[in-house]
This record gives sequence, structure tokens and C-alpha cells, in this order.
Amino acid sequence: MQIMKRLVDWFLPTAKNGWRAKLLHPEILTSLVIVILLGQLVFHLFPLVHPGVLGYSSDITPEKIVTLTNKMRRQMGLPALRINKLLNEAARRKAADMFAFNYWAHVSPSGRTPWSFFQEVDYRYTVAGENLAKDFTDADSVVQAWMASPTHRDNILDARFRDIGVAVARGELNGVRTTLIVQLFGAPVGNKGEKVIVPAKLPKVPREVAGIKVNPFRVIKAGAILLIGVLLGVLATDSWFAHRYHLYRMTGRNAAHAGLLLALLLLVLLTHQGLIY
Amino acid sequence: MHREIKEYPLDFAILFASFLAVLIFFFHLRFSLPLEQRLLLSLVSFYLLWGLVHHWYHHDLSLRVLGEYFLFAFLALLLGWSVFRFG
Repeated sequence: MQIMKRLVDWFLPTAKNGWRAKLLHPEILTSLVIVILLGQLVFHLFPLVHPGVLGYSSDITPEKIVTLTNKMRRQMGLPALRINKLLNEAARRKAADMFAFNYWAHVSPSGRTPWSFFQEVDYRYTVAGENLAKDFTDADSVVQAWMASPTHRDNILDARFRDIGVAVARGELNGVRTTLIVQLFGAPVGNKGEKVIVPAKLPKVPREVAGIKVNPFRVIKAGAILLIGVLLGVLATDSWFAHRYHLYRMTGRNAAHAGLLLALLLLVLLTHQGLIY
Repeated sequence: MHREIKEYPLDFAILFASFLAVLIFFFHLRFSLPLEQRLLLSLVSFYLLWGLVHHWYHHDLSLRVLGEYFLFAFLALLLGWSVFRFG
């Protein structure tokens, strides 16, 4: 009975809570903010203590990425790109470099550009491009995401490109196991692009840790949806009570708060796993 | 909520239209973390500005009311940021 009373106090406006659900009181909202901040801290620190437990698994292959990329080009009346061994090697080295130096960007923290990987494998080009992606679970989503971004789409549909190289690498970034996808494009100068290269010494790629137990994105997304849902429910109930019992209180507009939370809920629902760069 | 919207239809039309615009942009700019974060920031900033102007205009702005908007804004920012970062 005591628990029931407390629940009512937290979720419904009563005389005890000043006719405003306790969950909407500033001190409780502040506590909620602190709890979320602490939760974020835990998610930041956890991978350092238990590496490999949090992560994203996927079944993406380079072949599938190339097939889908060429499908997009054919739809636009463009010639299919040829898989180039040198570009595959350059992409693989770029992925290895990102894992080795713990970054995910076109330019490394030490200032290394994507073009240095082209030069390293002796792929001489007239034009070149790079698309990056991480944390996706399937190849279709990766290519769809690139096609939805104007700059990545421009690379995929650039009529000047002739060759493609793709690397799908699995490893750990900041203690979180993930899948990186590197897609390189180029138009070769003469026939040098077809030369077979001897692999040079590369930074060691961290070994794979078996058995991802928790996908952080799913956990956080589920938690956010639950919290937003609860707050929306409380705001709706609070408004209904205010309307029903003609309560006038010096508070913000519930409709504005609910609008913000509803918009946020839709943003969260629209967010898919995976990022492009 | 219905009563509030009926009482200030223009104010809420502006607020909801801006939310809708952010959602439309978001749908087209998904998968890019910096853009997602900027859109979330725009959404929350406009909500805060709206709250401030709305209550000031209707002469019921108080520190408590402003605090409530700030808390909801911060909460939304934190939740959205967490989801986008791991998305």
C-alpha cells in the first residue's frame, strides 16, 4: 500500500506533491540528469575495465559493398567499378591504422591523409576518394547511408572513378569492439594501378575478442525510449488532471515539454546503428 | 495540453513547425554524427528560446519556469547525445 502511495505521488498530481507529479519537480528532473550523466560515465569507463564486452557485430563483406556500390552506379547509367588489389590493400592499411592509433576519421591525429595510403601501395591516380563507415550490422545499411549523404553519394556516383577497393576490418576502438568499413575510389594513371605490391610492415591490428555480450547502442536506445515514454505519460496525465480539476500552477507549458520529448522520441526511433564519415 | 494549445495556437504552431522542420532535416541527414548533433542542438535551443519568449510575452516568466525549461532541454540533449554517439 505504501509503495502504491509513493507511485501515485511520483506519477500523478496530488495535494501531497503540490498538484504536480513528483517526477516533474525540478529536483527530481535534476536527479534524473545526474543519473544519466553517471550512466554515460559508466559506459565510457566500462570498456576500459572490460574490453570487448560492449560492441557491434556485423556480417558485412567487401564483396557485398562493391556489389551494392556498382548496383547504385548502374542505376545511374554509370560503368561498374573494378576491384583493384592495390586499393583493397590501401583500404586494409587505412583500417589497420585507425585501429592501431585509435581514431576514426579521414585524417589521422598525426595528420596522415587518405592519399598517403594510395601512395604507400603505389597506386598512382588522377582522382581519388574515400568513404568511411562504422558500427553497421549489414552492407545494405552502409550503402544506403552513404547514398543518403550528398558528399558520400558524389563519391559513389563519380563518373571519373574506375577502380574501387574496400576493407572491412573488425577490432576495438576505445575498448568497444566494432566493424570499420573503408571504401576507396580512384582513376589510375596508365597501367601502374594493376601492379601487384609486396605488403610492407604494418601497425599491428588488435586481435579480435570473442563474444560480444552487449550492444551499447541498443541498450542506450531502449533506455532513452523508455525514459521519454514515461515522461510523456506523466506529462499527459498531469495535463489531464490539470484540465479535469481546473488546476492553475506556475509551471512551464506541458504541451511544449511533450512536443520536445515527442520530437526527441522520433529522432531516437529514426536513428539507426552505424555512422559514416 | 489541449487547453494550452487552444489558448496559444500561434505560439504552439511556431514551436511544432520548427520541431517538424528539424525532423525532416534529420531524416535526410541521418548517419552523420556532426550533423545529427547540430540538429539536436538546434531543436533544444529553439525550445529554450521559445519557452523564454513565450512566458516573457505572456508575463508569467519566473526562475522556476525557466529552470523547468532548462532541465527538460538538458535532459533531451543528454538522451539524444547518448543515442547518437553510440548509433
